[in-house]
Amino acid sequence: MMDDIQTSEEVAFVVEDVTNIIKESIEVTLQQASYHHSKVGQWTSNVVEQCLRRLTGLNKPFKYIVSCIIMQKTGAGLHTASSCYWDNASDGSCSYRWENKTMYCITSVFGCMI
Amino acid sequence: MDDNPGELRVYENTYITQPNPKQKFNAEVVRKVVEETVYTKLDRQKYNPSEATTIISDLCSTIQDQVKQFSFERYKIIVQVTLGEMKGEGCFISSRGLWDQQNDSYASYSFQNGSLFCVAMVFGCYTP
Repeated sequence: MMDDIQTSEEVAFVVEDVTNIIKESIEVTLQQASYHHSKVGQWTSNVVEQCLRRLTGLNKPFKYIVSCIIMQKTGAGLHTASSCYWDNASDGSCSYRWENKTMYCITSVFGCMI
Repeated sequence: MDDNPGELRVYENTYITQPNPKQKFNAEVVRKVVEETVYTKLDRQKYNPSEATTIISDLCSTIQDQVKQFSFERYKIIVQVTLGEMKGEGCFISSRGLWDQQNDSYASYSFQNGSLFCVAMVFGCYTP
């Protein structure tokens, strides 16, 4: 029955799976890279595209929003916050922070069930 | 009709798959509201690490409350705010959505003064 499939746990937003997807996408794009102004745009696009591609591979009835911030390490502070008006039972979000010697990368994924 | 507390209410499907055109997520209007809120709050502020967390949490809640007042029916709203110190660093923020292009949209605004920068993004996703 369609209703049974849609309410099962497999269709829920699984934070662990999504965190792994973000982690892999960042590592594939930024592995051993040093901050370079001209390449940052390409890197953020790549991270976001890879995330979306893998998220689609999960085959779940979700709309996804992926947001990626790459910042050079200069000792400056950075804060991020988000607030969501949605259905807590079906929707979810997760964030992953990655860094190397020259930059920080914070990627957030928001998933809204259709 | 009396409300019986033990009774389970079952709602019928509306079979509506598109939002009412008057209640579609209006990115322009949302952008103006976000611009006003962020500017009012941060115009003469200096970056302070201990206060920054409170400031952006407040900003998030305020922006969300204001967007909710527009009553975009059946829309899920996501607000994301980033605040950073201006120290000559390079920073790039990019976002992409996998959604219904006709019904879903976003609004974003970036602000900077001498000591801080702030980027606020509001996404609206329609749920049929």
